[in-house]
Amino acid sequence: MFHLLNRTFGLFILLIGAFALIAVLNNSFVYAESLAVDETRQNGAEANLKYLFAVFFLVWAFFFGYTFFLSRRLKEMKNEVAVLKKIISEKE
Amino acid sequence: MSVMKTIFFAASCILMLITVYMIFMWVPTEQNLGISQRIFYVHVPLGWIGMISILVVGIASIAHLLTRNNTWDAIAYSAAELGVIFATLILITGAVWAKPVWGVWWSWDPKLTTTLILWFIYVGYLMVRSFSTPGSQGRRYASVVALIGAIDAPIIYLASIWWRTAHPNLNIGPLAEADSDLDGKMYITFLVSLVTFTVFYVYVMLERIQMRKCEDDLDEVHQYVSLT
Repeated sequence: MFHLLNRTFGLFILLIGAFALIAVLNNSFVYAESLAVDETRQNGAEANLKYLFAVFFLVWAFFFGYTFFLSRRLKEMKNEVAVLKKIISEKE
Repeated sequence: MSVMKTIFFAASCILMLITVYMIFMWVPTEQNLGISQRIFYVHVPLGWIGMISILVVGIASIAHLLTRNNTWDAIAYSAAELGVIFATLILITGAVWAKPVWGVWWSWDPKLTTTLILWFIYVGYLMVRSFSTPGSQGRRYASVVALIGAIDAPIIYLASIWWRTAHPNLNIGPLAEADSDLDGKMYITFLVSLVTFTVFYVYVMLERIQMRKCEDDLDEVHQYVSLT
């Protein structure tokens, strides 16, 4: 069941990443009302959006990668158990 | 255990969505740092988890040394593996944030340097485990490495108090200043993000501990099969 959950979680992370990517590409983030927003736009602070995107992309990529690693390791372990069962039954 | 995992999994999914919404839609943009300040809501919780993780490794290692119970060792190993991931992310997100704010990717700031040392300690722990022969000796050596590593956690936390550093004042923990630089919405978003990452960490920890126990059991069966 948790093998499936891992995959689901991986998919969830992928979807979030895709959402963030599309949102950045479309420049569609809606920022909260703030006096600072206009000021930062004037100062060209939106140029730093690429750094924000990079951070989120990397964090989600790491989480997705690690979840994928866990999922793959679980699959390997299941294969190992099957092989061991076969060896033991042959010896018996 | 599986019920707990399901609960933490569901909670982390929901909280992640809420956190992403709050970071991108709800929280106001900081006046001086601009949009890049939103990295704060990811970077600091990652740092928090990185420090918590080494404390978990240290405590579990002490318990393993005292009781020789392999469950403690599984907890220590799992926390160390997750610690490497979170410590790597702290360093990467810190570097990416430092570039627009400080103008450099890296500086030998005390907090950065002590965090880098933490990363090396995590890697050292895992290397001791992977290079030692199967059995209790490697586990004991690694436990000693973890105990040394745990000393680094309070040093990282106190670095901005003990030394002059470009990092801002403490926002979290027992020594955090009451008059924080963050406004109300920012502080709430920060706390939600902190809870989200902590819940996610607990979920992955539970998953990894269970897997580690399975790995140990499989090793024992492999040894049994090779002997018979």
